Amino acid sequence: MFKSFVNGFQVLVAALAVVTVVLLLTVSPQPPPTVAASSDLAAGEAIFASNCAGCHGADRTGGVGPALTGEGALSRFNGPEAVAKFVSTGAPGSMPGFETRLTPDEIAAVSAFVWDSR
Amino acid sequence: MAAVTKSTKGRGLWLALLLGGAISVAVGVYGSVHDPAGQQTISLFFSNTLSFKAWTTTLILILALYQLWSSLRMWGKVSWPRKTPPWFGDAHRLSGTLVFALSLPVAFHCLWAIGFDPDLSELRRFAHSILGCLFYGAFAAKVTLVRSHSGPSWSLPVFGGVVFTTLVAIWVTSSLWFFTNIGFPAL
Repeated sequence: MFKSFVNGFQVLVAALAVVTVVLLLTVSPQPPPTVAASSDLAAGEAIFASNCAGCHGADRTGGVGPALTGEGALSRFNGPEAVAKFVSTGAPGSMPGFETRLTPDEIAAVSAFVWDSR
Repeated sequence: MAAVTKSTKGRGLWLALLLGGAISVAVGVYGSVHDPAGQQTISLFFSNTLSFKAWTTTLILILALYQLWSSLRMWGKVSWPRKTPPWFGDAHRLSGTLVFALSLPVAFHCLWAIGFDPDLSELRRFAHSILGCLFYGAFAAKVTLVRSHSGPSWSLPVFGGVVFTTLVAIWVTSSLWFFTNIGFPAL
């Protein structure tokens, strides 16, 4: 009985592995929300949630990527424009560039949000 | 006859090594060439995907510890409990299957949203990337050896040991780092 359950579960997990591989190869990132203006911090927050929170944490306290809030956060930048430039190009091996995924307005919005809430 | 058996065992080992190597390389190549989505995926009842991953990997580590102990008992390397129930072997298989199943959503986010980090200056992330690829290769090789009943007698404990060691190192470079640097319990 238990052996049959384990055998069945193994088949189920094998199917799950196949589904995972298919998803890896087919799922595209969600399109970012559109924004009306670069100063729209609410839109910047929404863009952050869907594009940045996966690495920097939903509360911006860091994760795979560094913390974007708290003491010393973003100290290497001198303003939202510098943040936007970095977000656009990324850094090889540590952060992907977003210039092909977000519009300039969207990058400006999320950069303004990150800078404003640091 | 003995030579044939030895040859068969050699082929079983090579098959496991080739399959495991191919899977490790495939995972690494995908992580390198795929454009990282940078988005959250599954989080269940946790506040975000990273917390989900940190705790799921911790659960995987606990299951891996059970795997280690139960395999040592089955191989007679530990003597507790003195008498094992008839379902002991199946429980070992179930825990191993659970390890693999739980690793899938974690690996999905690692590969799809973050990708392989080749930057040696970020040693933790680089090591974690390598270890993640190694885990799936070693796991495939070990399962191949178990299922084919081939390979030298030393190969199964060696590959099982590699899988376990890799999992511990993955936990150290992810969950432990997360709990000590980001927060605990970070639910």
